[in-house]
Amino acid sequence: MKKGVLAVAVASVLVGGCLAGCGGDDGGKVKIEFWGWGDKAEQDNYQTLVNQFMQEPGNEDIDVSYSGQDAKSYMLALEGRASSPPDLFMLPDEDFYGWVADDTLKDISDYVSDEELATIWPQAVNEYYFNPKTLRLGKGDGAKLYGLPKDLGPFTLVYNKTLLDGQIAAKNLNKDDVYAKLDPQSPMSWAEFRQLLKDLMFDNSGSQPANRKYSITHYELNAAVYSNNANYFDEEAAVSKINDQAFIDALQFIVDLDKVDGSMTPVNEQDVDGFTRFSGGSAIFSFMGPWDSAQFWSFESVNFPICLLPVPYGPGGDGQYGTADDGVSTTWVGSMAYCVGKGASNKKTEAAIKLAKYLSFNEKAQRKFYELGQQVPNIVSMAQNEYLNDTEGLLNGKDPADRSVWVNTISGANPKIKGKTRPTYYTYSSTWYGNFTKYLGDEGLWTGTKTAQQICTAYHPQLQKVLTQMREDDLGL
Amino acid sequence: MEKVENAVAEERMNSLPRKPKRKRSKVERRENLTAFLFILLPVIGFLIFTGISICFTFVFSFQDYYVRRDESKFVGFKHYISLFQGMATPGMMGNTFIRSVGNTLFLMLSLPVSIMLGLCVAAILRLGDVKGSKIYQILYYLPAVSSAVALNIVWRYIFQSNGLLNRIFGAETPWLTDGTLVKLAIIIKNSLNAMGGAMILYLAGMLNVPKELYEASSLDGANKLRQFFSITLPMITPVTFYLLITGLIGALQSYADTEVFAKGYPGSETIVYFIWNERTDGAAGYGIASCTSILLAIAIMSVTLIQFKFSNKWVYEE
Repeated sequence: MKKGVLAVAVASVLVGGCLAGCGGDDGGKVKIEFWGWGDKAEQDNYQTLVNQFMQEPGNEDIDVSYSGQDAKSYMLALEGRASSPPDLFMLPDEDFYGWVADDTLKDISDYVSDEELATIWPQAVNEYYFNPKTLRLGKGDGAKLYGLPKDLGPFTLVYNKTLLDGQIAAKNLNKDDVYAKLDPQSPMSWAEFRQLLKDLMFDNSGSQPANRKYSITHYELNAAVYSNNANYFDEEAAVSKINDQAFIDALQFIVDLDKVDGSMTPVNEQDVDGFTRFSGGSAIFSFMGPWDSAQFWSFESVNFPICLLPVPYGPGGDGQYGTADDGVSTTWVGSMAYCVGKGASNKKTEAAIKLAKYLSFNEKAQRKFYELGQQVPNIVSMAQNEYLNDTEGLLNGKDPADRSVWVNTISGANPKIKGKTRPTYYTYSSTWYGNFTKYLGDEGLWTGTKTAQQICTAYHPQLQKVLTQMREDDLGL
Repeated sequence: MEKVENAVAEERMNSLPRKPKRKRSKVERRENLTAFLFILLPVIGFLIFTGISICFTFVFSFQDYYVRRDESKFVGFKHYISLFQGMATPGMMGNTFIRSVGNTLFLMLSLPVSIMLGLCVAAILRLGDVKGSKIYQILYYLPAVSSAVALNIVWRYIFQSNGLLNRIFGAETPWLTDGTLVKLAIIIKNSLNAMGGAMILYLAGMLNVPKELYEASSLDGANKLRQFFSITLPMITPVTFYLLITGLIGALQSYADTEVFAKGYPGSETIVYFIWNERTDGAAGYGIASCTSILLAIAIMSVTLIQFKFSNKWVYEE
């Protein structure tokens, strides 16, 4: 008798467990798991939006469990769950190709209409199309949609207005002349920018590293490469182009800001990241994305006004301005996609897509995001009017004032300012980029031990090998 | 002749009546079962989280593994060969691997330094008449019970260009942005962190040295220094042996120093950091990381075995 009771109890527990595992419904609610990344502030913003989503009429039957992680541990955790990922998760565009080519993402084409997508930046959504037959990225015949855009960045130059004005006065510069160069609609050339940085240089003689100030904290590699009409590889990501003169010049341009001009923080003083040093007031110029905006809204953390600036452009491979191969001010755009795991049930997919659509292009959600200082709206009309001119009064004079730089970079409306997806978006894996940048440091590019020419020439065969390996071995192209 | 003697001895042994197997009592059997159950959980834990992982790692080291597709392809010794290829060519994996091996070995210098420091502090606290000795013990031991990540973050604040160290000395030493200095900083940091643990163990070891030995040597006219070198030091060799074994294993598995303290700066990469980075490098990445892990495991086992092999030559045993 005892054995019988025990058997029934065990069977009940097992069956109950199985049913609980198979279901996911709780009192008629569909439970979905949503994974996001970012710093604490970004995680809080997403929790706010998720709560807002669940309170919206029509979403009462969806119970979202949001879990945010910092960028460092996020991809590790996600890779570990690759075979059964969360119902909805953010996937960096840098990793999109590998994930979609490995058939781990759900085709969501049938869940989203063209009318819905027509409201958002075309390049934002086109990034997440993929043709499973040809294994090519981007929208085209046979391509399916595998993600909805989180945002498009972008990452542009920013300057500390207080420090700039102080240095203009200290160096007896003409304020109008300086500000004329800082036109958000008309980017400077590299030559003009270098001269400006030199004009604004601080006298650091006799001061401790902690007290030194520089014209610029660091320089973004992709902004230099793209703005000099250069790239890491050809359009197919098949042939290495790092030994092209335009690419080499882009690298050397960054090195020279420190080694020749002395206007950029030397590499041995860059043990804290550039934006942190900029926030601490140690340089006039730096780089930032929209997600950093909120930091400047609290005088407890940062107490100076900021303005945005398009990145300067280079002369191209021939080294001469005014020729056909001149660069265009280009910085990287893109960020992440909201993706659904391939194995998600129909019910969960529907709920996950509902949340993804809400976060990606719901008007109320997009408004909340920019109000929180999280991103430039994905909705084109909202970004170009409401956000740019603060017609709703939600930003109320908050920095940065020149938000047109971000909007222009995304839209491409100003022919002098462009945005381009990071190079790692075009490759199966993003590891090669880390290895390359590490090589630059190891070989002493930033310390001036070797020139960009020497380093790029030496690494070119290695990058070519990796590109071929990714195409042939990993993608099977 | 010797062979013949051996054969005779063996025959004699076989001809002796065998001792019948004693039947274990119920109490004994129950005790054995209890003991077995107590160790069952850790054994299961070891098998699941370590044993099976080691087996998989060994298998992966001969494969290209597509983690997201859950597909694998047997490639033989390809990863083992490619690991050592291009050792002299900067930018090639072999070069990075060799450099990470070199860094790991160099960073091991912190082991003898921490042992020496721990021994010295323990000796001073034990043999010297130090006021507030308990407080010193707690303070020195504090790093041993603190989170490695937290410690590394604090040390980073100390060593960074505008950090505490440079501010105190008014220096501009680029501790974290110079390939050699970053190694030196890690050695200093690890030596001071590990010193407390060594000190506590040495103190415990010193307390166990029989007092009669000191009394007898005093009668023979030995001073404190002589007693330390002739009695204390030989008697606490088991502690030194333990510190060497665990220290070497820990040093070979070092990771947080590179990741948290040096933020992966060139010159600080260790073998485990290399494994960690390679893991993400496409389909071959898991294979390379796995074969490096296997080689590291073999190295750790070999070093440990060698240490045990020679321990009878210098480690005191009762």
